[in-house]
Amino acid sequence: MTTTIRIALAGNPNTGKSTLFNALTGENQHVGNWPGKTVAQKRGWFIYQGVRFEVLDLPGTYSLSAYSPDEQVARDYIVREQPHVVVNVLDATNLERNLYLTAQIMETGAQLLLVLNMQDLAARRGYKVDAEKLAHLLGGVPVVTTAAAREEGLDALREALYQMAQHLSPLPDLFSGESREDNHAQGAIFGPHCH
Amino acid sequence: MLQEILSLFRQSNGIPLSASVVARQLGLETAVVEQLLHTLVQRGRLTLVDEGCTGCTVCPLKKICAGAPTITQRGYALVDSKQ
Amino acid sequence: MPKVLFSAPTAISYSPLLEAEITRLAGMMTGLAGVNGRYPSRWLAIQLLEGDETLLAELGEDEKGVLVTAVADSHQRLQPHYGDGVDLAITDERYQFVHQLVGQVLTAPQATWSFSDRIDRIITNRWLGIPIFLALMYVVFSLVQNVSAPFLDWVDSVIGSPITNWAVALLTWLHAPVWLISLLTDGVIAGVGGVLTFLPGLLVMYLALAILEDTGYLARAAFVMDRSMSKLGLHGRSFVPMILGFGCNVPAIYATRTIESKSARILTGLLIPFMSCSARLPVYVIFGLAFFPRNGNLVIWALYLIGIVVAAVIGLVLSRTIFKGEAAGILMMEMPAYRWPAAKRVLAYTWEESASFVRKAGSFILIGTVIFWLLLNFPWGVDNPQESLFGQVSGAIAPTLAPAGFGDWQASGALLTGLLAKEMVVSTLAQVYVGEANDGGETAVPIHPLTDLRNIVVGFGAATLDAGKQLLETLTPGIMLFPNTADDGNTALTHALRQSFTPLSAFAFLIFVLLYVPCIATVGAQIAEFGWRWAALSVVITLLVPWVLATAVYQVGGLVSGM
Repeated sequence: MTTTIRIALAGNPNTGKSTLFNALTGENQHVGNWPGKTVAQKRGWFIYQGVRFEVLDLPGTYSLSAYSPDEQVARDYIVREQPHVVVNVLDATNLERNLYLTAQIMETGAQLLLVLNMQDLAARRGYKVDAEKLAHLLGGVPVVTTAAAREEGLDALREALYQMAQHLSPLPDLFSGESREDNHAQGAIFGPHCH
Repeated sequence: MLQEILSLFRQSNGIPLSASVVARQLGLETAVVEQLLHTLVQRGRLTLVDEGCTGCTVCPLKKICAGAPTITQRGYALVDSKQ
Repeated sequence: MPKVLFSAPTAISYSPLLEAEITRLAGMMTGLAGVNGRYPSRWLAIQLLEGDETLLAELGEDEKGVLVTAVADSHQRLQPHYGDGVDLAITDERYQFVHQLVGQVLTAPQATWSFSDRIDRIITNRWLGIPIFLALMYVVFSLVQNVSAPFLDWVDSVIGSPITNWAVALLTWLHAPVWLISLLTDGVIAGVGGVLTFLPGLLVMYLALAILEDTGYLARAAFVMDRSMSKLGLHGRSFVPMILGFGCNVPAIYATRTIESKSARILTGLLIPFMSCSARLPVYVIFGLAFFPRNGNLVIWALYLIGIVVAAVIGLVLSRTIFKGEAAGILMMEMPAYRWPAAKRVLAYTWEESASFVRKAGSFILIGTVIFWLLLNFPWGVDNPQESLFGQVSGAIAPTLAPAGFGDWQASGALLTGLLAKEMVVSTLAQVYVGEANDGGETAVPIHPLTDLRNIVVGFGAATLDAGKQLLETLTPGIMLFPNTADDGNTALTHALRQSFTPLSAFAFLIFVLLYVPCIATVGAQIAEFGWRWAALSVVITLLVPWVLATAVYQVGGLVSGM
C-alpha cells in the first residue's frame, strides 16, 4: 500500500496554476463541483518516488476572506481539510499582489510550499526575485522556481514535495527507513537545509 | 496603506479615483492598489462607480487625448460622506 | 546524514496592541470545545477581529455568544487607537508585511520607466514646471504670430484688390444692383475674408496644441498648474477644462462636467471666459502687427498670461466669497506615458479644428456679417455709417468706453459684433475702416485677370516661404537665419487702425477683447450647464472686469507716459 499525500494548489487567478496542475497530473484528472457550490473542483494525482500525491486545484483567489464563493471554498478547504501541503503558486511578475494570499495562508498554519512561476517572463521584463532570501525571510518556507508553461522546474517541484512529505507528521511508513538520494532536483529548491 | 488610500479619497472631494491614480499618488504598484481598493470595497468603505470619464465625451481633445484610455478605467468613491 | 528540517512558517506579528487581543482571543478558543482542534485558533482570532463572522454560524449558540462578546470587548479596547478601523488595521499590517518583504526580495526593472520619470522630474518640477509651461506657450504664440503675418499680407492683397475688383466687374457686367455689390464686397468679402486670413496662424496653433497633447505634455501642464491653483484656493480639476478654453470656451464649459463638486464646477465655468480662446487670436495678431511690429508675440503672450492671472484673482475672490467653505481638492489625474506625437492623430485634430473654423466663417460669421452690413446700411441710403442703425447703437455705447481709450463708435461697434463671435471684431473693423475707405470709384478699376492671378500665386509662394523662414527662426532662438525683411505689416486695415488708436489705447482695447463676454455661444453653454442666474453673473463679471482693467491700463499708462 502506498502513502498518499494530499496537496492543494492555491494562488491568484492567472498565475499559471492550472497549467501547473495539468503538468503535474497529466491524464490523471477529475473535474467535478465543490459540494453545494457552483465552483468547479479539479482533482488529480501523480506518483513520484513511489509516493502518491493527490492534487486539488483550489479556485484562483486574491485573498482568503469569505467575501466571494471562490474565496470561501479555498479558505474552508485549507482550514478544515488541512491538506498535507499547500502549494502556493505565485506570479513572479506580480509578486506583491500575490504574496498577500501567501501571508493569509501562512496564518492558517498550513504547511506551505511556494512556487515562483513565470520566472522566465519575469526575467525578461527585468524583475529579479531573490528566491533564497524569500525562503529565509518567511522562516524556511521552501521556494521552487518554475516556468510551468515550458515545463521547467517541475522535477524540482516534485522533489521538493517529496522532501516535505518525508518530514510530515505523522510520518507515513515509507519514510521510516532509508532516504532516497538517487533523484536530484533539476531546478533550484530553497529551504533552510534543503539541498 | 488602507488608511492612506481612504484619506486620499477624502481629499478628492467626491471625485472617483482609479487604481492607477491612487498608485501614482502613493508610489505603489497599480496591481497592488487594485487589490487594496478591492479590499476596501469588500469592507464597505469604498464603492465602485462605473462612470469612467463623462467629460471626455464632450472634450474636443478626446480624439488625440493620450490619457483617454487610462481615464476610462473604473473609478472608486467613498461609500458615504462621513469623515 | 542530517535530516531535512522544515520549520513552521513565520506568521506575521502584528503591532503589540493588536497582538495582545489576538493572543487573548486565541487563548479563549482553546477552552471552547466547538472550536478547539477544528480551526487554527490564532487564525480564527484574526478572522474575527478582521470582521469575518461567517465561521461563527457553525458554532453552538453558547460558544458563539462568548466569542461575539469577547470580540466586542476587544474592539472596545482598541477603539481609542484605531477608531472603527480595527479590521482595516489588521489587513493593513498584513499588506505592510508583504510590502516590506517584497522590497527585500524583488529587484524591479528600472529602465522601462526611468526615461519618462527623468523627464517628469524636470517638467513637473516645483520651480521649473511653470516657467517651462510659460516658455512653451510663448513659443507657440510666437509661431502663430510669425506664421500669420506673411499670409495676412498676402490675403490682404488678394482680397483687397483682385478679388474685390473681379467681383465688382462681374457684378457690374451682370447689372447687379449697387446694394448687392456693396453687400458682397464691403460685407462678405471684407468680413469673412478678413477672418479666413487667420487660418494659417490658427493651423499652427491647433497643430501645436495637438502635439503638446499627444506627447502627454498637456496632462503634465495641468498637474503643474494645479499645485499653484490649489494654493490660490481653486479647485485642482478646473485646470483641464480651462486649458481647453484656450481652444474654444464652449467645449471647455461642457468639459466642466468632469468636476464632481457642483460649486467647483460653477466656479470653473465662471473663470473659463478669461481663457483666451483661439477666436481672440486674430484680434491680437492684427493689432500686434499694427502697433507692436517688433514684439507682437510678446504682447500676445502677455495677454494670455493676463487672462490666466485675472482668472486666478477672480477665482480667489469668488472662492473666498460666494463659494466660501469649499475645500480645494488635490488634482489626481492619469499621467499618460510620454510618446512621440503620431502624425495621424495630430493632423486629424488639426484638420478637424481648422475645418470647424472655416465652417464657422462660412456660416455663423457670414450671417453675422450680412446682418451687420444691413445694420450698417439702415436706414436705407444712409451715407455716413455713423448715422446708420449700427453706428447709432455703437455711438450710444461708445462714451462708456471712452475712459478706456477707445470711445469712437467703430471700436464699440466691433466689440458689439464680437459678441456673436470674437473673430467678428476683426471683420467689423475691416468693414467699418477699410470698407469705408474703399467707397466710391470701384467700377472704374481696370482688371487684368492674368496679371492678378500671377500676382496671387507668386504672392502666396512668397508668403509661404516667408512663413517658413519665420517658423525656423522662432524654433532656433538667437540665430538669425535670414536677414529681417522689415515687415511692418502694412495692410489696409493696420494702416486704418493706426489712424484711430494709439499703442496705449490699442493695448487697452486688447485687454478688453481678452476679458469681455467671449461670445453668445459660451453664454448659451453656461445657461445650459449652470442655469441662467450663473450665466448672468458671468456676463456681469465679464463686462465689469474688462472695463475696469482696460480703463486702469489706459489711465495709468497715460499718466506714466505723461510724466
